[in-house]
Amino acid sequence: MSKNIAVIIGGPSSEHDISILTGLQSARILSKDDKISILYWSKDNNWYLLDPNLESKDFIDDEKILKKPIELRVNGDSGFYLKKKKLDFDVFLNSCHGGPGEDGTLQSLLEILRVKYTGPKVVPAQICMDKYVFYTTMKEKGLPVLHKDLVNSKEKVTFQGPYILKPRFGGSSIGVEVVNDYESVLKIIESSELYAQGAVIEKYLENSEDILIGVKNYPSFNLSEIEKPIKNETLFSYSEKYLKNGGLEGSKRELPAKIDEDKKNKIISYVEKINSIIPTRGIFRYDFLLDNEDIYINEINAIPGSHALYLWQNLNKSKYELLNDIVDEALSEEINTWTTTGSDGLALKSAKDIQSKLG
Amino acid sequence: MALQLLKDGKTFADVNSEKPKICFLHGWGRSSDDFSKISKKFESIAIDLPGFGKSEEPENSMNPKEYAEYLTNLIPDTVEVLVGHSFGGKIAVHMSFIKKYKKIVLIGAPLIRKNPQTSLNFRLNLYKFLNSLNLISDKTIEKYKNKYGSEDYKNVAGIMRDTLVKTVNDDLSQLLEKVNTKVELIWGERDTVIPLSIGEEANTKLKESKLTIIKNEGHNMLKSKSGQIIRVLKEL
Repeated sequence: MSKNIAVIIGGPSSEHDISILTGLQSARILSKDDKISILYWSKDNNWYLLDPNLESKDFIDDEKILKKPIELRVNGDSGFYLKKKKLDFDVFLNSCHGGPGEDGTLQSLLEILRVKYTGPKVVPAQICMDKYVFYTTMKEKGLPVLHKDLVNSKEKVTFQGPYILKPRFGGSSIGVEVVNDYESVLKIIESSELYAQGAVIEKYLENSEDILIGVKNYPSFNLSEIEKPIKNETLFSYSEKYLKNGGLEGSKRELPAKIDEDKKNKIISYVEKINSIIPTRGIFRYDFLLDNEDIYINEINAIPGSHALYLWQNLNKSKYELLNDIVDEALSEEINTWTTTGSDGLALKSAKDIQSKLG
Repeated sequence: MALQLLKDGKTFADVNSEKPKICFLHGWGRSSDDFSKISKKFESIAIDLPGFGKSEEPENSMNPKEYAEYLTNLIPDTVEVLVGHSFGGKIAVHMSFIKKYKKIVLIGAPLIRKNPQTSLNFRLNLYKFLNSLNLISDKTIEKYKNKYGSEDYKNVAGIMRDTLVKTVNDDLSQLLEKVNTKVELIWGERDTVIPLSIGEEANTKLKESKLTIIKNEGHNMLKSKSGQIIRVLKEL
């Protein structure tokens, strides 16, 4: 049955442009059977309805395409409106990366609008975006994770460099640096806005490798092939990841990665355990670090580039079917209900005037 | 390679050794990251020049010679070879007059000043003359410069704009004959920013130099042709 799907793209985030690529790809894939609209969340926090057949280049000088501004309505028949007319969608496919599109902010808005949407719900989105909370959660559950310290000029660091410095929030490699000593770390964070919300450091493991794996829970729990990105520079840099190869999908990689069974089984057992704490919704990409014999869970990307559709050669499913699973998952679930039980007016009736409460 | 704050407390460098042998100096508007593929193959230090990358802006504008003096005091004594790309190459030449190095490697460096477009220059001089007679305002001149100045000029303001002007005006052509250090010149065959002809002319002026031309490459080839540059450096 054909569905009416709105793909949300953009967002005021450093991964705004990458999100456009993910969203346009998704729109193209789904338009095979479904009715697709694009909801564009601009860098300056405005919303527009766009033609799903646009090319990424059309966004470079975007004035020409921003003809249909959208209004948000919270009261009554809540939702997105174009010139007083409600835009009816069955479901929203969230293709935003980084920033408020991935950190729980957009998810909260969609909850208030009482609509169905794909990908992480509010709290998992927040946990996956907060590197320090994610780290402490993993540690508490005995999962292998590299020690992290919050960077704070008032406290002494508990381990020796070189360090990897990362902004505490944000999923991209922007602001990720290898730094020799703590004094340099402090100097870098004080001179850049990227770390204004906080920063974390961990030990830099020079010879470690990234190991990526996709996870989905609908219609049943599945793991993708394991990917090993091929890096040339010290870190898997932003330019390497996105700019050189026209998006994540074109990057160099080993897929499926050559990993011995023993390590593979360990990774799978970690994924299962994490998935029971922070359940995947849509497709999450788990990023591990492999350092000789040691495996560490690095982070979870709750809305990975290209929705990580390229990882699933092991499941005999087309990209359309994979995206369709994400959409069906969102449609199959009821919108969260809020209960007002307990607020039956009794407290209001028995209360005296407000002033007396202040006394 | 890892970033490290140097002893001045405001300049960063990408280092992989406490006793680096090679020091890399990047071009205008760039950073040590340009050398990331090359520098890791050597015991080296790649500077974020003051005003670029992670390093603080200098307190006052600096000419390339002043950059050279500043950096000579800042980098470890163990450095034997300087590698400068573009603007960094200019600094390397000045550094070779302050301290003796085994070799300097200059990649697409503006060693000889080209004449700016004469028509624009004529108009600017006319404007300046009219300005001196109070016939047009400082603002108009600034507007004109913003409209017709180079991309680099438009992209910077304040101290770094003055630094750029000093850099562009710094003409090394008289100095080249006096360079006593061995020079390795590397040029992209199709460099449109600092054309190959400048490298060829410099090669005739320098006492002891060799020019390596990288086929089909332009001005910024440090990442795309890192292999070839590493080979040249390994031969030193």
